[in-house]
Amino acid sequence: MAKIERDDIYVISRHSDLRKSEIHALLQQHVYTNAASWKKFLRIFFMALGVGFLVAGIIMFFAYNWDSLGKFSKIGLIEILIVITVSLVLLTKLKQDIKNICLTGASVLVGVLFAVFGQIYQTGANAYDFFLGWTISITLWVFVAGFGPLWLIYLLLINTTVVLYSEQVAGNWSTAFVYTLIFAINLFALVIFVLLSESRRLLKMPSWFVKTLALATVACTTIGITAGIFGGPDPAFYVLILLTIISYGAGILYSLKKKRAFFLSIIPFSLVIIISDLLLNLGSDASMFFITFLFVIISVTLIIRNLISLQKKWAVE
Amino acid sequence: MNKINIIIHTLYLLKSSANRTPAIDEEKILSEYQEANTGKSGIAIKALSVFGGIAASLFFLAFLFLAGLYESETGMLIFGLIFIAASIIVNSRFDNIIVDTASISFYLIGFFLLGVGLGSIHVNENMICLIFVAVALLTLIIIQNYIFSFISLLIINGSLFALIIFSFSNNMIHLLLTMQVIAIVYLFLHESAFISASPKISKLYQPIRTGMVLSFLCGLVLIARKDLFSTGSYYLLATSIVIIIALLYVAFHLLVVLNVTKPNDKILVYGIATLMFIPTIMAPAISGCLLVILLSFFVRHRGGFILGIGALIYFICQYYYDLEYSLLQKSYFLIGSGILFVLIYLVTIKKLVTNAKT
Repeated sequence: MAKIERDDIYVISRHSDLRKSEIHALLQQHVYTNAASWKKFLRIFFMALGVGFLVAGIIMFFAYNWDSLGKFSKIGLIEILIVITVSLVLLTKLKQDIKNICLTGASVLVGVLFAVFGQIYQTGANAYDFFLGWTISITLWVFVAGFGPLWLIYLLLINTTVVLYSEQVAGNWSTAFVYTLIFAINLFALVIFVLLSESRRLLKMPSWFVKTLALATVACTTIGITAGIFGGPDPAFYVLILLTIISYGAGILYSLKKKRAFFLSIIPFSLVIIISDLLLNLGSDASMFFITFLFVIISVTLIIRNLISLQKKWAVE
Repeated sequence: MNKINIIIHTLYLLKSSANRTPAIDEEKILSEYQEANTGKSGIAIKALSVFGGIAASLFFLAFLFLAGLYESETGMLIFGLIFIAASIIVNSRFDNIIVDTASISFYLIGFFLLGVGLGSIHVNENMICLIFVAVALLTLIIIQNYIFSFISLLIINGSLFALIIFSFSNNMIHLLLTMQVIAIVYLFLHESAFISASPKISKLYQPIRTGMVLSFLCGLVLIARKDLFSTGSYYLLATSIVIIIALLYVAFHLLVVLNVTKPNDKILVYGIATLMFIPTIMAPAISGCLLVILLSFFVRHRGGFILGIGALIYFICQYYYDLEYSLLQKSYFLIGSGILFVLIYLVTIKKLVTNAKT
């Protein structure tokens, strides 16, 4: 259901003689944060700061690599911390969001555990199997919690693992192939979360998470295609283009159907960048820069015009 | 229920309020929602205009330099002024979101050419900064378009920062930051005063607020990076105290919203707030971010909130990275702060629950 927003109060004020106090009352009633939201915010804010600082402190503690602390006590200490944190989640009656913050802290501690293991047995702190182990170990928690920040860490870990694997193990993967692979993984995740956001199930994710993921996915293919245009030919590059065409088409159709402006602004903007790359790839003399300048101005203006007329149409419907 | 129905409903409630009947021009209000292309735009459209405008102006500058047009100094100066004036005139005549991208890119190109032109005829850097401030101020007075006002405000603050850097008076940045703190707190907490003021001011309010937040956070980056920019530690302390006073002032407003009335509870809140800021007294960047976060959450300013959270994470990392202690000492410090926050959490929960019961 639509509700009164800040801009509406501006419009009403412009065409009325409402007093300062009356406008303030409207703002307080419809726009400003109420007591209940403040309480929730303060709770989450302090807990997130607390867990954040504690985990950061623990990371620093083990990074110091204290000689007088033996192998057994180092690993044992982290394991005890993980057990305590997870027990807080399982055995207490804390609120769900607080439990999720604790579980996110525990997930980071698992990374510390792998890092300390690597430190003791000299396996290196950036080995791909370190990140792979970390990713696999926290998978269950990520799915159970269904918590935005934890999912973001998880996806970041998967991406890191893939990039490190391509560098350390699969020596002959082309840049285009790595971009295609990362794009495909994130696109898959994005499609799942967009579909989930339509359902009323428990696993529904907040919109900032879906938007962040969408932005990262679109950025990934935009950079990949830019690199492909200026780089040499590569079969994986054509797969990336095909995948991009299909996903962009689907994204635009979905947004038109669901009346969402977000995809309709990032997808065309990505296309503007890609076409500008193509233009500059044709030649890099002064006239080409002028043509690109004209193209960007005209295309962005057209995108904005269409978006505005769509939003007008949606608002009336 | 769609938007127009909601508006009609709200207008009805306003008119039927018990105290007085305000004069409301219902027809004009409703017609604003039906007109095409003049309506308000979301953050996505604004971001498109800004990024599109910046990208286009970069391509145009590349064209100018490749075509060798930078050789004429007076030419650049004149073209710069023409571009700025043309973009302002175009925007004042067709004030709609469609011409934003084109006109903002000419506006930015104009400033760049003006700067290079003035530099090449040996105008002093400080003078160039002041000219930029004057031109941007003039823009704010002539047109009140969102994107233009936002960019002009960034140019004003950016030029003031540049002025401080060029004139080697680093400590002056604390004076600028103090003024920004006062401006931001006033802007956020007195929104209704600006809305009910003249139409010009009411249109300028939102872009100026967002621009001030962005400028303030950028200024904090300067004082947080001691390797880039050094200032006296007494000045740092002074800025910190100004920000903490501002935070306590916001906390005072928050107590009203949370309906905390008992003196003991009030003392507890102020105590907690002070306790939180003692470890970072020499790092005003951290308390500055907290100020932005709290104010933005207060009035639900989403952009400020997201910027504030991002900046807070960055400044905390920077702060602990710069601390001249061993990793072990840093770790004690961090764990101590973590325990402090968990304790604050426990106390707040208890208080909030008992408040909710009574």
